[in-house]
Amino acid sequence: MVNKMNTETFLKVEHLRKEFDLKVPWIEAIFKHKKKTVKAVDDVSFEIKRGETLGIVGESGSGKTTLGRTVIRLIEPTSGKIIMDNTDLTELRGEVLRRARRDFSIIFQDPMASLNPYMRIGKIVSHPLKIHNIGTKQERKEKILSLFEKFNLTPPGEFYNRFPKYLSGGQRQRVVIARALITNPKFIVADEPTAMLDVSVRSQILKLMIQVKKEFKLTYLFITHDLASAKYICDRIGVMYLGKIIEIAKKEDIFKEPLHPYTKILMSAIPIPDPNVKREKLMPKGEIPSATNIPKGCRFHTRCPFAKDICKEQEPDLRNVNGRLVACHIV
Amino acid sequence: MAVLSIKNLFIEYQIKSGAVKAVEDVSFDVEENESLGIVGESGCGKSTLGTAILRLLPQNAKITGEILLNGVNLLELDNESMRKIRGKDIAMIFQDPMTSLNPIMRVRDHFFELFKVHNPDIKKNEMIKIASEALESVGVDPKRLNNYPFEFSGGMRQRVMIALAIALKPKVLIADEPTTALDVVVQEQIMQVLKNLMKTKNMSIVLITHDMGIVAEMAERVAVMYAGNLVELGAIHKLYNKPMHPYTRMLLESIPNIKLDDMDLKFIPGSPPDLKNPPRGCKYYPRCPFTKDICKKNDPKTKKVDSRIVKCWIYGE
Repeated sequence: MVNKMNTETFLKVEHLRKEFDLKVPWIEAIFKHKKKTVKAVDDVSFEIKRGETLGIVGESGSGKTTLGRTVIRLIEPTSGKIIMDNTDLTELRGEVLRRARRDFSIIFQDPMASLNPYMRIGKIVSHPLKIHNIGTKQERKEKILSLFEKFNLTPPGEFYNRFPKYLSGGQRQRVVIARALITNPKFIVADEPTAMLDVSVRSQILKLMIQVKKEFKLTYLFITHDLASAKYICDRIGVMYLGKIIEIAKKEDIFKEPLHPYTKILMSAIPIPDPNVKREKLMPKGEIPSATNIPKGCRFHTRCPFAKDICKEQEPDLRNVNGRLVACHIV
Repeated sequence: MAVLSIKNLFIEYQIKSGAVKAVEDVSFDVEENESLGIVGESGCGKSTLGTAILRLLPQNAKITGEILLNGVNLLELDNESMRKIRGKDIAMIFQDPMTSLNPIMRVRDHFFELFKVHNPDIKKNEMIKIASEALESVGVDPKRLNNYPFEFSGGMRQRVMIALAIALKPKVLIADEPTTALDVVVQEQIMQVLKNLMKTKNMSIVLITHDMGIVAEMAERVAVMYAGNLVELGAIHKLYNKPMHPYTRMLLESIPNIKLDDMDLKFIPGSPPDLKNPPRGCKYYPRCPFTKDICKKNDPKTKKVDSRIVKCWIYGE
């Protein structure tokens, strides 16, 4: 899928953290100096090369959405660096940050909730152009119409004047992608762009995303819980669990030989659309713990079928195992 | 004899600008202790069908045909008798566990409400006993009866929903996209719960879903719906190995898989028809690669071909 992969690093995320403060009863806050925080993203580092797609997979509550939003400063990071194209995004403020935003964008999960129901499609898509003062009114309209044509939102003129409620789920998601691309960004965070769509529409949207990636020379951070979708679009995949990346490797490696027990569980949980295949399923114990109370030691040890004593004591770092990065004592 | 038998069911929604034909001439049986999958794209009428079986459709839905539960036509019952059947003989779990539990009621009150409808004189001890058993059978600690729904995670809420549905040991459980709102690991856990219940409780399951993977793992027979029609019905292995209807074939081909050597993203071109104004003839012909002249003119009849039901002109008159 990737023919000429550039080796130049486009995005570098270093020790990124995002903690949300929770309410503590005031008496405890004052007298006991108690503070309760949710560590949604807990010391995450990774790189994305120019033109590459990095997938982030994990369960609900693993912090993957927070990570995606923090990377493009829709959420302020607690600490860490986000270096995009040699600029540290965490140091940008005010107008400078606003201007920088034309270079990156996001596709949200729910196309029903991410389009303003009182705005016509044309206005929704031209909004980013207006904010960044790009083109005249006429030029903007032409640009949008040609994009609609390319996205199979035809006839484009009709879609331009429609309200979101008259569009199907797939069409809405196309509008969301058009809006994300209208300022010619270099980087897109796609936050579960196909989770709310039907199977056949899902493939159409994935195909469109692969096509525009080539055309617009984009770099993607693709967040999903659906490993099957990740297979088609990602070059590398990072697996997140409770705010940390626990394994990151090339797509082929993850699918052929997942190393971390959690990755193995994720892989075996995917239903296989073939009644002739009966598999031994690997199941985790219980449910994902709360991010306010992350287990000591390896954060997965409470559910891991292979946990040993050391897992309860020591937190494993992301280390190199045969050229792959994995955070597990057992591997 | 079949536990549940649907005969020539038609459902129309009356709206201002006309009638939406959501379900058209659908017939099938659900045998005892069987799991039947109903699959199709959004808007194919599968949820309408499931909801109609419990007679929970909105006022503007017009139903004709027969829904026989142990030989009794549910469509002829008055509201009070229907209430007695819901939850006891036939129950349903819904897609979204966040919105199907009452946020200001404790979990135990959900159970108590259900039990009192079917037996006004029931004692509290007994109610707690039945509720605890139901919760245990789906892997929830009975101590949590006193919790409110917001104290549960999505997966746990769906377990509570299942426990509520099976508490009175219904003969038929209708599961409408029971795992769609959950992620893969939790989905797998919920499927295990359902499989276990099928084995231990002697219950039939009608599993409504758009996920062909889940059906492959759960169901014994599959019904494929398209634009309100049942286009194919057959045993799971036969249907997956050799789909007969062109739509079934496309649907199976368009599932994303996790095989690395298959990177071709297939999808069904076009979109399902507008059910207010469906095409004449076979409803699938605008998207079908095998369209013949007759497909555009006449709607094919439902035929039985080699122990399978299929609705397509390819298989003759």
